[in-house]
Amino acid sequence: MMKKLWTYIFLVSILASCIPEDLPIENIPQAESRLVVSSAIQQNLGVVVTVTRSINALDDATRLDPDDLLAELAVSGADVQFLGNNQSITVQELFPGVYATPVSSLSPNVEYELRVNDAERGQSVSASTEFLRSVPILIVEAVAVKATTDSLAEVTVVFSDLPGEENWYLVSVQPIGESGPLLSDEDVFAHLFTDDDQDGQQITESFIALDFDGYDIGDTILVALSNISKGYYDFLDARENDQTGVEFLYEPYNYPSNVNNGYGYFSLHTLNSRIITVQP
Amino acid sequence: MPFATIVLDSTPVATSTQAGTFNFQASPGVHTVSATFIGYEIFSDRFNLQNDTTIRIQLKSSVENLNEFVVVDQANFAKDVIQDNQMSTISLSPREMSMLPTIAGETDVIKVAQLLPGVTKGFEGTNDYFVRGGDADQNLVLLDGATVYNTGHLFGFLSVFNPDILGDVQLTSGGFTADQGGRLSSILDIKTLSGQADSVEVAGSIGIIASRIAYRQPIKKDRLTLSLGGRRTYIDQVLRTINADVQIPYFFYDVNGRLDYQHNEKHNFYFSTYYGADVLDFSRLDESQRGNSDFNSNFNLTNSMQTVGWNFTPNSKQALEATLSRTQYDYTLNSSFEGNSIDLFGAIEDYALRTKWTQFLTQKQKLTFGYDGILHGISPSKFITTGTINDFIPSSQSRGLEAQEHAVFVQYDRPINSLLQLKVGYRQSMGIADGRAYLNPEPRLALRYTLTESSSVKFSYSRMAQYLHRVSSSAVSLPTDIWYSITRDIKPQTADQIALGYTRSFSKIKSYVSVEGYYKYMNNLTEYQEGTNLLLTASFEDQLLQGSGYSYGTEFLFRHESKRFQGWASYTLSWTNRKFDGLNNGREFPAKYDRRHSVSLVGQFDLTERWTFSAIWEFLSGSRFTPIVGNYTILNPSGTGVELVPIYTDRNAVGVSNSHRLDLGLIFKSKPSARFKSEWHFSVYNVYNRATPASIVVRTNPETGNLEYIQPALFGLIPSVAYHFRF
Repeated sequence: MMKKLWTYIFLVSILASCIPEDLPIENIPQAESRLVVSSAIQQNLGVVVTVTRSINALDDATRLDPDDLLAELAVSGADVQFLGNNQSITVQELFPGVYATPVSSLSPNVEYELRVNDAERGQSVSASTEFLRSVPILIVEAVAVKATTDSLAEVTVVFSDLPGEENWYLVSVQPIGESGPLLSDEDVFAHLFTDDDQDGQQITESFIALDFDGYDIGDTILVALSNISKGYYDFLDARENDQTGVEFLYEPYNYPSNVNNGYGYFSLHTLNSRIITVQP
Repeated sequence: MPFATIVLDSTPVATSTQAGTFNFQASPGVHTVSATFIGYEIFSDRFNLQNDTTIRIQLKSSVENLNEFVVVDQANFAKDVIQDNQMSTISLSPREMSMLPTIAGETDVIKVAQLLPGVTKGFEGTNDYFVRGGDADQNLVLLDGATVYNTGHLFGFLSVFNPDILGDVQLTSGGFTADQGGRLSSILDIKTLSGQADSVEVAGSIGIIASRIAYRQPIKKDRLTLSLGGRRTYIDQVLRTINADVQIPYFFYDVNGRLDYQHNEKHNFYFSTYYGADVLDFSRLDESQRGNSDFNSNFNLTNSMQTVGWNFTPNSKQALEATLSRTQYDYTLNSSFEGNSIDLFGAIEDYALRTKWTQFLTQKQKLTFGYDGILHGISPSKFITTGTINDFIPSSQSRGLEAQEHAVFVQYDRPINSLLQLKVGYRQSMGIADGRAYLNPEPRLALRYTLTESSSVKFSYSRMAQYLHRVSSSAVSLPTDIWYSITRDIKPQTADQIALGYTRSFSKIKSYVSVEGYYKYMNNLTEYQEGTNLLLTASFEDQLLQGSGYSYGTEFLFRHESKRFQGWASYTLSWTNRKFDGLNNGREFPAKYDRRHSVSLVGQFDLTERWTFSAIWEFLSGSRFTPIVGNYTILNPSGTGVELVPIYTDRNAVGVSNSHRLDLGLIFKSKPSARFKSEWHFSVYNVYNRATPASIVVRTNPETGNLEYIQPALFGLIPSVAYHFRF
């Protein structure tokens, strides 16, 4: 045992003494702070738009929990408008950084332009997208699957594809803790797929939902199905391929955006959600 | 000895072939014939040439024979550089390379090549190199005429070339002749020791990472010689011996073999073979070391090359060089754990025929023509998962392909007048794969104008085409990178390069200076769509993009070779950029290894007849990087909260810090009179332990708690000792 210990100490000492100190680097131009918008249609809240500001890479806010993060970066008092279908809709601020309007004020398959003006910062952004038809979940279930050291959840969603058009779909899976789903720090798993050659048919989509802590029988999860645009599909695909942290192994890139003069993604997709329990 | 320059009455007239043969024409009479090569004493003698004559020349290393030879004129080699039409070409001798300080005590031809002007290194410690702004896969590496696809052991830390069996090495980065092709940026032509041995020769080395041995023996004097070489790392065995509880399941080995047969004055044959492997095998660990006994992983990477060569010299006016070679490169990775498995496999196999016929039309006019053909067999690259893991990491497989490359070439060399030498050539190449054929004309032009006896100006133009590319989505080359060919959708890469150079020799100080400027435009370069991740998939074809690039720069070289001191100083100032419609929003961006300045000071000095001191000092501008410069929040896909999204700069917008490094070496030799010659090599890599960064990351400062940028490094000070012997 001692021999092994001394061998390790010897090897580590040799290696550690030879590893040079990391070199500092300064004067890396930081991204200027801009307005950020993101949006979705929640069944209970209507069209929700978040308006926040971007921060530089060394800002301590990056280490905050989601609820504190939103509060820290929220842009309050901005003028948020939807323009489309010959009307202009003012989106009201619910609480700092979060704006909402009833979904009934929008017409399906109509293109809407979002305009955000932050007079305090003197910044404004705009973005356009189509209000997509909602696709309700017919059946959803999750079954625990034994993996290597943990168990995972195999999620199955059944729904009817919208006929006569090419569709891109998102199914999100989020574990729900004691504090509920909102503003939790749980990671959200996103499964992306298209309707391929199943136009207008009933689609059964099964996939393994990944989570760092795994899923156990009896766990409560939130499953949401959305009919999304190609652009938002590409945005979420970039999220799936993001390998921040191992940049020396792959080439980093910026997520695509449809926001002019800003960041984020403006999407009018409806999240049809169900809360279910993982079954054996 | 290949690449030696043959000089007739102060005019270079030939370069020796791979078999060490050469031809030239002369008017009847008495002439001075000299043969020169870097690191060797110049041979020079007078001959009364009246009819076809065979001259056999044996060059001796200038370092080993300080007391035995009268050096004719060390600066004659500089004259050859001035008079030779060839530009952008540098030769290295194995002796020269072995005297330099090395990383971990292992002489490495690739690491030495990275010190030459116009050559930029990639990730520290790896074998990637970038020539005149090109990409790492644009360099053709040949071992006795066979293509080498993977040049590194230990993930690129050491090259696959056993230095004890090496003959000579030549790097060409521009001014390509018509018989050279296949890659855009450079050709590194490595020869193993050739020719007939006079007696049994044994050489070897015992180092801290690996040991090697080489053996040469005449089977039949002046007719048949056998050469063998072998090398193995033994860090796994050393640790096991010291302490059986500490085991590393990795090792590499390589073996070389060569037969040289001199049939008669006209026919010379050789057979050369290489086999090398890297093995990482967890099943070799004892039960106590493997922890969870259900886990097993095995990684094998193999390189195999064989070449049959024939040199035919029917008379003094004609010569034929022909080689038939086979190359195989493959890797397999098998990992299994609790009923799951991941298997990775990739392979490429080549069969190549290269022929070159040289015809002397007159004493000074030469015509060269020939044919090159390569068959590539690219096996499907497979990523296979089984068990539960297959549900979230599906299996994938690329297409297998058979591809062909063909080229015919012709080149005409002649002096226009006493000052101007012309070399004009044409290479017509073709690549066939995936039901599609691509034709590429590749013209070549070289001019040399003699200003004075000690200075000349050279110009060259060459067009190159490349029908293979290396598939890697990472910033560093990995052992699992795949070589793939053109397809119906992926066109061959092409490059047009012009170079203008001035060379001047200084005979009094036994040196020469060379200045070369170049511009290179590259088209149909390959890259991957943003977000491509090839680590967990073998399906990549639909992720490929093609674009263009250009590079330009100036290279300065000062080279000196005298009795006691040899070395060079080089400086390169260069730019290289890329443009792809699907990357960086279509905007032009710097290449990853767009290093603005590159300085190498290399020297070895004989303190006494038994002590030699050597040093390398290198300065490199930082490589380019795409750091994170901001963050923003968006709704998560469930719409229940927010998550952070990174903001990066434009692609490769930021240069990491410049790096500089000093390596020192000290060699203690046995007495010159001893038959058993030995040397102790002591070297220190990175003497002042300075980081050579390759990335920029954000981390928390442990003292202040604030976030900050840092540049992590990999290698620091590495001392080493090795014992070399020869008898």
